[in-house]
Amino acid sequence: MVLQKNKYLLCFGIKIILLFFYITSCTSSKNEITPAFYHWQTNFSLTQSEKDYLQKLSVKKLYVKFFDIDWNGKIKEPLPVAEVLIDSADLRNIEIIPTIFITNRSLKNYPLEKMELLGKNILEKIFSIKKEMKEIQIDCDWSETTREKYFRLLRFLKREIQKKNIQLSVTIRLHQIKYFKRTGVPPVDRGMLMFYNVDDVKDYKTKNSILDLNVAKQYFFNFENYPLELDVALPIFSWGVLYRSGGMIKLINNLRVEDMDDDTFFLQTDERHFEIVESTYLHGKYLYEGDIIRLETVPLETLKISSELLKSKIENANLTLSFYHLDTTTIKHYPYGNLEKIIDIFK
Amino acid sequence: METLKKLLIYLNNIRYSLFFFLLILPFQISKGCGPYHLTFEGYTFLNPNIVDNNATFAPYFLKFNDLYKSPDSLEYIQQDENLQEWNERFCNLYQIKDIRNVIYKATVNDIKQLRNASNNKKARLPRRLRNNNFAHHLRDEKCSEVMEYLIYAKQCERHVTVGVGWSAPERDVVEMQKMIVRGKHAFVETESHYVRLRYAYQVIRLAHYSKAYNEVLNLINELMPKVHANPSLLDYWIMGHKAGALLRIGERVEAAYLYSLIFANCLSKRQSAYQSFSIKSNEEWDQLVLKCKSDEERAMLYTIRANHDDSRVIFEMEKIYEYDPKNENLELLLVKEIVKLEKDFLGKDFNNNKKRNKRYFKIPRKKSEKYLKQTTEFVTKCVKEKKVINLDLWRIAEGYLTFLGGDYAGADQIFTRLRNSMGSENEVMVNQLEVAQLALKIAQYNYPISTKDENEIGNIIRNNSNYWNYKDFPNYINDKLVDLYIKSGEKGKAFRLHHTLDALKMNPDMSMIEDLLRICEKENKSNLEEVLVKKDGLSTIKNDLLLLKGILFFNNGKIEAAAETFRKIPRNFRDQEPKFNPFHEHIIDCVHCPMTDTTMYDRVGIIEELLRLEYQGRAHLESGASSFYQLGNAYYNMTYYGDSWYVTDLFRSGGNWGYVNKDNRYLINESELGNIENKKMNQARKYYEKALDLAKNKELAARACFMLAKCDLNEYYVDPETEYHPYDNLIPILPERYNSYYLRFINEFSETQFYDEAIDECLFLGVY
Repeated sequence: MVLQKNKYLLCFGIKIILLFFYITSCTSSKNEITPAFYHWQTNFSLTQSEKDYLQKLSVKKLYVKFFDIDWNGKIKEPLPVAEVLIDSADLRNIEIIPTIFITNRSLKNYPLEKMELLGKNILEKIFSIKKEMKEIQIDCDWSETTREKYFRLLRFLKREIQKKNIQLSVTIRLHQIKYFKRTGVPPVDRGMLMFYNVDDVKDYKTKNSILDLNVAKQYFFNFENYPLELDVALPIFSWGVLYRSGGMIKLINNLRVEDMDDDTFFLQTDERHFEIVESTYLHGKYLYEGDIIRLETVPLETLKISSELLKSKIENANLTLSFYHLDTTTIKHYPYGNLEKIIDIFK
Repeated sequence: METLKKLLIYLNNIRYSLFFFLLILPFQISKGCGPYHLTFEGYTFLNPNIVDNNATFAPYFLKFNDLYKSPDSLEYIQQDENLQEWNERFCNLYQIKDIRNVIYKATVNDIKQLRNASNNKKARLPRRLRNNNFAHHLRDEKCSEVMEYLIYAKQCERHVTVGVGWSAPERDVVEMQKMIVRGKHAFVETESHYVRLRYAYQVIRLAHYSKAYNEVLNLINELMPKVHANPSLLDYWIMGHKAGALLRIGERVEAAYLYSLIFANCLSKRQSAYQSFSIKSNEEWDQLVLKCKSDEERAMLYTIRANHDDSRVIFEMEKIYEYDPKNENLELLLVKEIVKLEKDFLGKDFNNNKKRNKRYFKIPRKKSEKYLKQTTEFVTKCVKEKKVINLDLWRIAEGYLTFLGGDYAGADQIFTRLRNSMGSENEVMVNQLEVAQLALKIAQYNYPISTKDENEIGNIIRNNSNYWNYKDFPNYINDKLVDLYIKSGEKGKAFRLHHTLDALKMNPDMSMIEDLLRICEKENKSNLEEVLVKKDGLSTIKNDLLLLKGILFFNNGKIEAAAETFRKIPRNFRDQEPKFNPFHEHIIDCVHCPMTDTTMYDRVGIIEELLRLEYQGRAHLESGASSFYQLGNAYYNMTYYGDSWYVTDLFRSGGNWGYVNKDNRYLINESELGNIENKKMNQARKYYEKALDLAKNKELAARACFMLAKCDLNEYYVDPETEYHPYDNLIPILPERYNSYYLRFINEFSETQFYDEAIDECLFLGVY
């Protein structure tokens, strides 16, 4: 009887152990990925197709740019501009994360001791737009000269929002990881690695300033030593870089190859360059005969390779994978099934 | 008497030379160490007055030099225009200051008090308006409609003020709607059509700011037919609100058309109309052109597009010309384009800053030749067809563009023909032509520059008023000459045109020195040559050049040639130079320590002593170590690290101590040649090694060994692979190839008296 009982116990124990291994093997090999998007327009009013898209991709977070902070030369203060107009309140199960873009010149011109005041203003402004949130993100391409001010601002923000159980995250550029000993690590809870804008957009010789893997790979160092938990933002936007008389004039947002298929106006000179053969309007910009456009897009294959590379470098079991950025024109070029594949790579 | 005359002529020459000297060499401007704003460096020879400065659009198109008067504030322009109109409506009887105080400064309560005063003679005027004639008029004439309107307008103001800052108040749309109802009621009650117009403006503005765009259009349709006022500024202000509302509801083409009318006719709203003018497609543009009621209106559309910073103006000018050849904007745009083309082409081969302009400003622009050709062809067409307003301006432009395109003969022909046909009544045009011809003349100089050319250039500088009236001529001439002198191998002349003698001292160049010495020794110098080698009123730079030449010989090991060169310098000049004794031993380097030696040498004396010691060292091999040690000291002390550095280098910067640099050449503002620092240890090392080899005395051997260790340390500092930075103030850790003499000194000479002495003084050694 005892023997039988022991046998039973042994059998039960083995089953439990096997079950444990089964469960752990399932969970430990898969990362928890939270799909997210950036929304960077001033009018936050999602179309039905955008809402459907988010739902199909099981998007859990939306990083919504609430406002920019730019230096006002007249008032001599950094002030909010381009405040978002929220008109999409019915987003069930999607967390809105207020995202604030601060221009570097705002920090450069404002004294160090006023960073707490700036932080206070930022928080008041955010809470006047939205009362509840779990995270706030700050986007700023800070430099060595503004680092001290920026970090002081971040320390203040973190201290203040911690009281309300809100996390503080910041955007991180690739070079800030490679040279983190020199550039410093922002004093925040999380970093969002912006895996785009990797090359000099102004330079005519640049192949693809949004994402050129050969350029990006040059910055693939120090991920293992970087002390901040990283999330990832991938680009799904496109633009045309307009050159006139050899110099870059402007960017034409959301430009795609099909926008330049009329050979009365456009002549494709190579894989990514188009010459304007007759002056014309394009996406609201007037182009002159002789202008050159470099079309920059991010093909799905590049996104896949980028994702494989990033997965091998970033160890984060609870990674937020965000796509930049959400708008009807952009998502038309990335059927949700394709982005699902990208999300799967990170799992 | 004859002597006195000669002296006077001489003094006159000195005065002239000094004057000339100051004229031609003011161009070495120190930029200091601080940050400075990097700007394009080129030339322009356009007289801003060749176009009508008062032309309506001048500020928009002529963004060059002091002609462009940017409006300080659009708000002020708007206020000024508004006040001007109020004044006109009151027959220009009052001072603008008084009207401003009533319209913009007075509060609602002030106006209410004013209204009371007009009804009650005993009531006092508000303090602010007590001495205001315009307020007195409103009171005395009982202008109740105006006063009621002003009270209403001031109450509207807070609803239409654009909020900036962290706590910009939200618009109270409900209150704004109430104000609109009140305004409409007042509109109906008001008899004056001018005041009605103002009420209409206020309510339309309120509707626009409360984002009721359809209401804006409805109000315009409802109210404006009931206003029969004279043409007013407010017509365009109201049009602006209409255009804004149309834009919001998607009537983009109509909106753009209205904005183009505002841009053309209303100064105070020109800037905002320009910013709001927006066309997205070819279809929209075609519809817009069709909407225009006249060729002038159509020409204005192209003018707006030409105003964009990066527009290809010539394309737009062709269209403007097609529609309206007498359009005054054509001339403004032409001048604007020539200024750009000047940057691309004027002096493109000889501009001293051409590399920098290319690197930082991408000038000359790519394909600028094609653009110049297009522009020239268009201008030639305009000249031929003679439809433009100011034909002389176009003719000068044709010649100038031909000159910029490099066809000097063609340009000369056009200018000469024009000179013969142009009357003298238009002084500005005549002057512009002369300036263009002068620029062309200078561009035509070729190498080798003859004495005649140099004298001619001297005369231009001395006598041609245009040279002084156009700030870019001095640089233009200098850069051109430098280019020619470099081509003809006259490096000294070329250098002196851009640099001071001190710049040459920082990195002496033998070919420049020889070239300048040749000029010093010339009997018949040109005007220009006189200036280039003049030191002050009485002497030339010959002795300075000989000094530099001797130093170069010395540094290249040709000490006999150096001595011979130094001896050519007159004794009185040599005596003014400091004297040194470099033969002494210093455990610690001290470049500026006072010399306590009683025996001091000038450069000739030093060379003689070097030769004596060399002979003594070689002649007495048994006892020569001491001589070689002294030679080592001399060569060591005459380097960057020693107290006699000035013997071999007339300029030393302490700031270069910490910087490793290839060839020891350091960047300076004064000259692109840089500054050479004499950090070479080879000569000192050679003699210290001989001394160490030959020394019979252990104390002397210890000294030589220690100095060799110092030579190693100094060479370690300038090794390109060295990461040590002297400014870190840390003791350097010498790699193996630089520490052998230190180790030897420690291992072999620790028993010597000198060792103890060195340990006491040398911190590094103590640590090692």
